[in-house]
Formats: sequence, structure tokens, C-alpha cells
Amino acid sequence: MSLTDAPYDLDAVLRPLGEARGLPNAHYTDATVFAEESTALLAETWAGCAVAAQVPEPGDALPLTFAGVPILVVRDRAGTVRVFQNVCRHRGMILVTEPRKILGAIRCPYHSWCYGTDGRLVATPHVGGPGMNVHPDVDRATLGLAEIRSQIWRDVVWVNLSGTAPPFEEAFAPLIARWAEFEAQTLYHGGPESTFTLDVACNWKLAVENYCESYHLPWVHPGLNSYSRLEDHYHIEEPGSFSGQGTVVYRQMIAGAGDIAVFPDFAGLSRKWDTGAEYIAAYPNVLLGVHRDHAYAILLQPDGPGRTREEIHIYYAAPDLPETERKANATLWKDVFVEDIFVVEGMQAGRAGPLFDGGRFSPAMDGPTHCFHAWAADRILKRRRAASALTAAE
Amino acid sequence: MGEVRAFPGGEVKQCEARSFDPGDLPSLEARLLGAHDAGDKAQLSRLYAEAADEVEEAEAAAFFLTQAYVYALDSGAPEFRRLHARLKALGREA
Repeated sequence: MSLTDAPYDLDAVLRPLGEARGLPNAHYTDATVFAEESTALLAETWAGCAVAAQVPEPGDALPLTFAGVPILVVRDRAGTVRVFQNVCRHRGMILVTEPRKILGAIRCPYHSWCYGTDGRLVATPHVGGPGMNVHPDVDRATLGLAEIRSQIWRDVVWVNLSGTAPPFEEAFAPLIARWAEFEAQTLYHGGPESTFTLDVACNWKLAVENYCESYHLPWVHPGLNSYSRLEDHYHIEEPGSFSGQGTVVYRQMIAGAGDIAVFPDFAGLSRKWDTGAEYIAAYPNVLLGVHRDHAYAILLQPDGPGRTREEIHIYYAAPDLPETERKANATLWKDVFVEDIFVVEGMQAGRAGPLFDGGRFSPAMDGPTHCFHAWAADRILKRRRAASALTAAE
Repeated sequence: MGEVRAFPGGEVKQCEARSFDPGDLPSLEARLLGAHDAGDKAQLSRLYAEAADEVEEAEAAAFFLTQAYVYALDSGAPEFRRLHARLKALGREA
């Protein structure tokens, strides 16, 4: 990494908001730091890699690469969504290369070792010679697909690649509690009209940082000013877990003449949600939004230090809502998210400036961003210190 | 005359050279190649099962049965149970 100009000082990120600096440039541009963060921030935490609606039926399989790891999201015959390493236990061949339905078994295209959708190794053809499909040295019971720890929450498939994170319900307890009113609700994915992706030229963390603060709204989303002013928003900060923003003036999308609300509400919500909405970045990489009548999840899929794929899924309180209105709502959100692209890409470009020192925060407005930076810096520093201690011990 | 073939971890076996060549049955071979080209796994399972029934030599039959079984597994064809049972009865499958 280039440290020739602005000093590299990760500890400065951990200072109180008014004194802190942001993450140094290398955390947005450097391949080595990206790899380090892929482990410390993406693999050792609970990260979102897909949504369960992408594998709606038993046998549906979705191959992905997440944090550099080839994984396979599968809905098994019993209907459980499972995540496996997408790699044959025989010769390390990638098993599934395109989203598809597994009709019977997951067959490796190389030597045809076959796995059930539950990961069990069920066939090892010719492993003991032609026509001999068993061998005493090949114990199928120990050679199932490597399963990755996963959890479905708010339809997001969360994975802990390292297997070392605290239990999901423990790690996410503060956010689950905050949105307890939504916990019992069924989320209905709005279908293809409610899914879109944005490929942006920025580090994934910039998408998080921009999402979780309201400071930029009057400048970047002027269309919101007419009813949603800056002072109608509040900060949300849960150190070590999530941060974001809320509004107290959410208005439901109105359908043309008659001013009738289009979408039904989630049942049993308190009055807070009549005009309230919250937008939270669940660390590391999932951006969530909740409203009385719809919700969404944005999955950030890092693709190297300077590229990110944003995958947006919108949900409703009931199935089979009118297509026109679902499309209109998706367009509304897409327009807002597209408005953000020039700032995240601009901040990425700005990280090429060697004199940029991570930046100073607004003590009044940048708390949620600092919360995220501090979370990231803390995890990275702990990892580096543990590695240093290990080296010293050796 | 047979050949001596050794498989890692297994015993050295004396076996006859395969007495069946799909080329002996041009129509079956053609259909197998066609099914491979088409990626029609259910059809591959049926054709390999047919090949297994055509041969007399046990090892060749087990080979074709295995092919039939794997393509049945892959395609979710219900015949996989029957094919598995046949292989198991032959001591070729767990």
C-alpha cells in the first residue's frame, strides 16, 4: 500500500466522533487490504449473500462467489435453504456453474460424484474401479459437501464463512429487538419486477456509508425535500452491529386518482410506523429498509476493492399485488438509489488522492458513518494484533 | 487373453477384456452419443441400462449399470432406486 503522504492511522478511526478520522485510502483501493477485510469483515461475520426468494422451490440452486469463496445456495428436498461450498470433495471441481433446478442429485461434471441437496455424498461411480462404486478407503459419510453456517432472516441468506461468529440470533439481537414488530410478519417478495441490480465503481463500504446517513439527502435527493426534510430524520447507531437513519414523515405511495394507498400494511404495527420508516445498514453488507407497507433488502456483493454489485429485493405484506404498482414502487426506489451512484463513485475516485487522510466527520450528522468505520477498524485492528501476537509467540 | 489391471487400493484383478463394445450395436451407440450431445440424462440412463442388459460380462454390465444409475440420480428419474438395488445386489454399491 502507498503510505507516502497522509499518514496511515487506523487507531484515529476509533477516536470519538468529533476527533476521529475516516478509514484511510488503502481500505478502498488496496488489494491486500481488500483481502484482509474480506476475511475480517465479510467472512468472520454474518454477511448477506442472497435472498431465499432466489431459491423458491426444492432443488433450486444458486451458485455465487462471496468473499472470494465459491458457494452454492440450495433449497433442499425438505424445503430448508442450505449453503455449501460449491466444490466437489473429490478433485475440487466447481459443481454448479449456473442457477438451475437440481432434479435429482448434484452431480460433479468431472467424475460424477453425486450429492444430495442436503449435501450428503450419495454416489461415487467407479471409485473402486469400473463398475465398482464403493471402496473401503472412501467413506461417503465423511465426504459430504462442506456446509457453510447460514441463517435466514428477513428473507436474507446470511452466511458466516469462517464458522467462528457468535450465533446469529446473538449477533443480531439488537436489530431483531429493534424491529420486533416486524418479526412475526410474512414477507412476500415482489417478484422479478421488484428486483434490480446496480453495478457501481466503488468499494462496498462506501455504499454502506452513504446509505446509513441522512446528511446527504437534501443535496443528492432533492426530490425528497418537498415532504421529507433533513430535520424529519434521526440517526440510528448500535456500535458494533448496525447504524442508519429513520424518518418520521414516511408517506405511502399513492395510486393516481382517488389518493388510495396501494399496498396493504404489515399487520399489527404500532402508530410509530404510520409515518415512520427506518433504513439500517446491518454490518457488514446488507442495507435494509422497513415501512408500514413494504420493505427491502440491498445485498452488497464486493467485486474487488473498487467494484460493488448492489442487488435490491423489495417485499410486501401480501402476495399478488398489482404489477403496475409494484413496478412503480421499484422505479421509485431505483431512481433514488441511482441518484447515489455519482457520490459513491466520486468518493471512490477521491481515494486516489494520497493527501486524503480519511476525512473529518460532522459531529452532528456523521455518527452513523463513524459507527460503521469504528466497527470496521476495530475488527481489523484486533485481527492484526492477534496475528502479530502469534508471530511474536513463534 | 485378459489383461492385468490394478486399481489403487484394490486388489490386482485378472479380467477379460471387455466383451462388449457399444460399437457392436451401432444403433445403441448412436443413440447414446445423441443423448450425450443433447444432455438428455433421463434418456442416457435408459440407454445405459439397455447396454447393461445387452452384455454378458459382469464387469461390463456393472459399468453400464453404474452409468445408468448416475444419470438416473442426476435427472431425478425414479429408476434410480431399481438401478441402485441391482448394483447393491451385485456388491457394486453401498
